[in-house]
Amino acid sequence: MSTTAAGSVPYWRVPKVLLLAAIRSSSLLGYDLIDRFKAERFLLVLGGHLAWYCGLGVLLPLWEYTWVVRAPWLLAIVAVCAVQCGVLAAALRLARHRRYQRSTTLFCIGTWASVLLLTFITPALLPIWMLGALVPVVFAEPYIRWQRGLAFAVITAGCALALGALARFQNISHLDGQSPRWIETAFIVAGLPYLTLQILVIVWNNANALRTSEAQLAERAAQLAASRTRLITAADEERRRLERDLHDGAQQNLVALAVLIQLARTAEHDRYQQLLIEASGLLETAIAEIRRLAQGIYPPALVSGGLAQALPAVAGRASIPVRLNLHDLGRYPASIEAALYFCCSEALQNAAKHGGVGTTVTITANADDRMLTLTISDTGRGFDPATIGTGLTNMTDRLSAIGGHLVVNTAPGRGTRITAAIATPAQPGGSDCQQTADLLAF
Amino acid sequence: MRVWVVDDQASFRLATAATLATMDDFVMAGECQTGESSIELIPDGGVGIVLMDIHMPGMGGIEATRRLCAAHPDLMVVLMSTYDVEDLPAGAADCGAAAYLHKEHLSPALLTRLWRTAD
Repeated sequence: MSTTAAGSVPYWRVPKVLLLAAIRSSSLLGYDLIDRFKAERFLLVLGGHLAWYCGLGVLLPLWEYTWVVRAPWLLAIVAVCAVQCGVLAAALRLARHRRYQRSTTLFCIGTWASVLLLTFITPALLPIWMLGALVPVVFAEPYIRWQRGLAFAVITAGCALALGALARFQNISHLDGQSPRWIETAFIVAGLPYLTLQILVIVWNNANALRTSEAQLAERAAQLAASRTRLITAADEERRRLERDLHDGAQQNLVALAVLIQLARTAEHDRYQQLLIEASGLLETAIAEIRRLAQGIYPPALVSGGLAQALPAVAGRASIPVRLNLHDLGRYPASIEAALYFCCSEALQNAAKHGGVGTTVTITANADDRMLTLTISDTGRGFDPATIGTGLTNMTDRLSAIGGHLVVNTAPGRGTRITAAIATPAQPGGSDCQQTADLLAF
Repeated sequence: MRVWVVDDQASFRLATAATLATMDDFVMAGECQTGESSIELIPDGGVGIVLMDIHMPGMGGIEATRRLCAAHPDLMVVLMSTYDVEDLPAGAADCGAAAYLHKEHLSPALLTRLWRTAD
């Protein structure tokens, strides 16, 4: 990916391209924010917060107490922050078990309690504790119900008011009377930028997730519109093909038959025998044409016996050798059976048409309670995936319209493997059908 | 009278051959599968009837009729197909063809009648 990109962009843009590629493929930064939103983001923010309390609330005051000044208020900070670290560790543990709502609640309540205590101890550090009080509620939004979110917002506002009041009116202690001023400065330098950045990152992250999901939705809508158009085009094309087949096939034979029978009516004895022989030849061709056409419109075997019967039938009619491994095939809704059947017949036609001499095809079906997977692989000459034909595109659209998906793996000289997978409702009686399939296949 | 049949469908060529075989004064002059080959096949100054299918691969019957009529003014080209008249492609009316017939109505009597009206 990156080598192609590097080959086609000016050298001065290479670092940017590489960086973008790294970001998009990185598991840490997570380009697909939506899917990984909950788990990794939660652990990252909670972990970061834990590290911050540990560093600023426990290690820094301990160091200052040991080496700078033996002030009891430093020990009080250590005590509160150690408890908060314990609370955060518990919240992390809950998050690991994906109990986000409970974890968030614990995070919020623990934070409110500790910032109230910390502000009581050090009113001068109000800005730090104020920002600290905001982090959980800013972060919590995607993880809790909106009623609780509203309650948390109100409580946070109350908490902020209480913090302000404490900082303004708390005058029972002048704990830091004998401490140097730079100790407070150290707290502010270590605390404020980190918390500010953390809040901003959370906000940007939320906005980014929203943007990504909007972009994904728009992309999906565009794909849906395109596939709908393609399906309609395919249906029209199918009707045109039917008209052509009827007109060029059976109808032409019937027309010639009408002419011959007209001739036979007035012909002499020795002549009309010959005309009737020719007429019956035409009639047989017409009947075979109509049978072939009807078969192509909707195979009777699919109606009566499902895929387990129809796949061996289509394999038997193919002009190239086909191996069948059908396991546990049951009956499925008609839309699923039809989509997979036409997928197979399209793939077989492609293999016969483009595969080259000696191409063989293997059709493998795997079914369990939930998924039905059909793999059609051939030993043909393969093709450039960029030049995928309308037939396969239509199959992809058709499968995705009924909730499945189709993957084409191919490259020149490598053969082609088409995998169609679709979720199935549970169906009883799968094993009976499988026996039929085996009998018919060999 | 010489008759050429131009049709990509073997069955109709067979039916034409069978029809002509029952007629004494009409003979099969040649069969072609495309409009292009009919232009090459029919000699200069050719006189007779061309039974021309409309829908064929390549230039198709309408364009072939137009060119044949321009090259051979004495030739009578009859357009044939299985479609109804209103379903015919544009140009069917003014390409120079003498008539349009449904293929299933081909018969010795019809050919004779056509030739007489042309006279």
